[in-house]
Amino acid sequence: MIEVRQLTKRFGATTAVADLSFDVRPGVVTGFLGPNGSGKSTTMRCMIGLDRPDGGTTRFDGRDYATFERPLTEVGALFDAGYVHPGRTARNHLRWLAAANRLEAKRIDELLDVVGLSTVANRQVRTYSLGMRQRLGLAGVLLGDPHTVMLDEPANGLDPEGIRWIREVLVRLAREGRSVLVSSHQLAEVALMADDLVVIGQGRLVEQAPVSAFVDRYADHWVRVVGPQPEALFEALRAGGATVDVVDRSSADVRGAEAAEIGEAAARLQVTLHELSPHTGSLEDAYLAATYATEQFSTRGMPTGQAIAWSQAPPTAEPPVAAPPSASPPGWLPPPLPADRPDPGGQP
Amino acid sequence: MIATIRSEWIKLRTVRSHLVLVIFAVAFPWLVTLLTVSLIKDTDLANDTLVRVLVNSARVSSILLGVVAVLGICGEFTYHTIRPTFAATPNRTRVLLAKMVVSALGAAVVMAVIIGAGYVAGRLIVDSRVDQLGHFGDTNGLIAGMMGFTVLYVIAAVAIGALLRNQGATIALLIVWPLIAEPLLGGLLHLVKAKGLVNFLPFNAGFRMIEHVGDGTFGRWGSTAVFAGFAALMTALAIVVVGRRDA
Repeated sequence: MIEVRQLTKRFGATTAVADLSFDVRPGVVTGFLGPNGSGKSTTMRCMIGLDRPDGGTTRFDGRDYATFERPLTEVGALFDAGYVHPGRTARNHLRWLAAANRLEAKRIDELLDVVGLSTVANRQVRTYSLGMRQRLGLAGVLLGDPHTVMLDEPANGLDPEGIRWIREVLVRLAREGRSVLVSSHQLAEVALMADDLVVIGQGRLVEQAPVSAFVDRYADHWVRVVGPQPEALFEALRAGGATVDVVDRSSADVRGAEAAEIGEAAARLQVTLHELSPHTGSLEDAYLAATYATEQFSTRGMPTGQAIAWSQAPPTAEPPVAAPPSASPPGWLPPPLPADRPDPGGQP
Repeated sequence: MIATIRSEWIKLRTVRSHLVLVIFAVAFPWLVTLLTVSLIKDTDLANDTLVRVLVNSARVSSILLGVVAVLGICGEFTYHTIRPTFAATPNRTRVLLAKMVVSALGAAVVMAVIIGAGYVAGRLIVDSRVDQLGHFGDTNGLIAGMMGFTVLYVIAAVAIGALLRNQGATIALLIVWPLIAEPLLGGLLHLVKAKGLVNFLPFNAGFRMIEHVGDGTFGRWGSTAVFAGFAALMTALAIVVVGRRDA
C-alpha cells in the first residue's frame, strides 16, 4: 500500500507537484496518467526521496522510504532504462545493486533469465537496444522481490512482444498481492492492465478512480441510431434537447438521450429502427477530456495549417474546458469535448 | 556501511576506462624510474636518486588515480546512475563516504604497488651498476608523504566531483588549481608580503608532503594537516550539498 499525502515540489517559482494525495492499493495495477510536464516523474522521484519534496509524505506500508535498511526488498522503482553506466555489463550492473542491499548473487542469474538477458549478460550495456535496457531495468526492480513496484514509462522502446510481456509481468505482480504503480503514455496499454487510475494535471490530482468509473465519468457516451427513415425521430430528439450528429441518410449518433428513451420515442412515432446501440468512448477519450483543462502545451483544438500563425498570436477563442459531471444536465450531456476535435472512435 | 562499500567497489572496478587509467598510473612511474636509473651516469646516482625519481614521477599517478575517483563519482551523475544508487541506499552520506573509502583505499594500494615494486626493480638496476651507494636519504618520509598525499587528493577529488557533478570541470579544476592557480596566487602573496599565507594554500601544502621541507614552513606534518583539513572541508561541504539537492 502506498499512501501519498499533500506531496508538494517546487522548482523555483514553478510548482511541479501541488498538494498531491492518492493511494495505491495492493493487488491491483494502478495507472499513473497525466500530460507531459504534469509532474508524474517528479512525483515518483519525490515518493522515494530522490527529489526532495517541499512538503508532504509518502508511506510504503506505513513507512517512509528513507527508513528502509534494504529498500530494494521493499520497493522496486524504475525511472528510466537509461540509468545504467554504458561501460558496465548487465550482470555487473545487477551485482552492485544486489551488493548494496545484501541480496544473494544467485538472484542475479535468476532474473537475467526471467527478463531474457542471460545470453547477453556479459556484454556492455552500451551495445543494448532500448528494449533490452528496459528489461535490465525491470530485472533491477525485481532484484529484491519487493512488495511495491513503481515504474515510469516501462513500455518505452519496447516492441509489441515486449509491451505485452511487461504488461503480463505487471499484472502477475499485482495478482501476487503487490502494489504496482505504472506511469505511461500508452493509454491502450494502461486500459489493458490497470485496475485503478491516478490522473494528474499540472501537478494536481485530477481524478483517482477505478478505470471503469473514470471512463464512465469522463468519456463520451452516445447512441448509434440506424433506420430506413429516421428523420422524424431525429427531429423529435432534437426538440427534446438531444444532439443528433447525422452520419448518413439512415444513421446518426445521438448524445443526450439514453437508448431506452430513444427506443420509446421511436415506438411512439412508429419509426422503424435497424440499430440502437449505446457506445462509450475509450480510456483515451476520457483521459483527454479529464486533462484537457490542465495541459500546459496543448495542440488539441488546433486545426491543421494554423499552427504557425497561432505560434505568433494565440487564438482569441477560449479553449473548451472539460466540465465536471455536476455541471452537466443530469443524465443528459457528457462532459463537453473540444468542438473541433475529431469524433473519437468509440467502443460499444 | 560494509554493503555500500562492497557495492561501490564493484562499481569502481567494473568499468574498463577506470582499469586503463590505473594501468597508466602504474606504468608511468615505473617506466620513468627504470629508464632514469638505467641511463643516468654512475656519478650522478646520489643516495636517494631512486626514491626521488620514483616519488616525483608517481605524482602523475596520484593525479590519474584522482581522475579515476572523479570518473567514479561524476559518472554517476553523467549517466544518472546516482538515482538507482540513492534508491538502493537512501542514506546519501553513507554513499559518499563509501565512495571515498573505496577510492582512497584503492589508490593507496595502487600507490603502494607502484612504489614497492618500482623500488625493488630500480634497486636491482642500481645495485648492478654501483658497488656501494650508501644508505638512501629520507625515503620513509617521502614514501609516507606520497601515500598520504594520494589518499587525501583522491578524497578531495570525490568530494569536489560530488559538488560539481561534471567530469570535465572537476578534472580541469583538480589540475588547474594545483598546477596553475596556486603557483600564481603564491607569487602574488609573496609580492604583497603575505608569504605566510602560502602555507595555507591546500595543494601547495599537499605537494610539501612529498618534498624535503625546509625551515620556516609548516613542515611535513603541518602541511599534511592543512591538506587534510581541505579534504575534510570539501567532504563536509559535499555531504551537506548532496544531502539537500535533488538526485
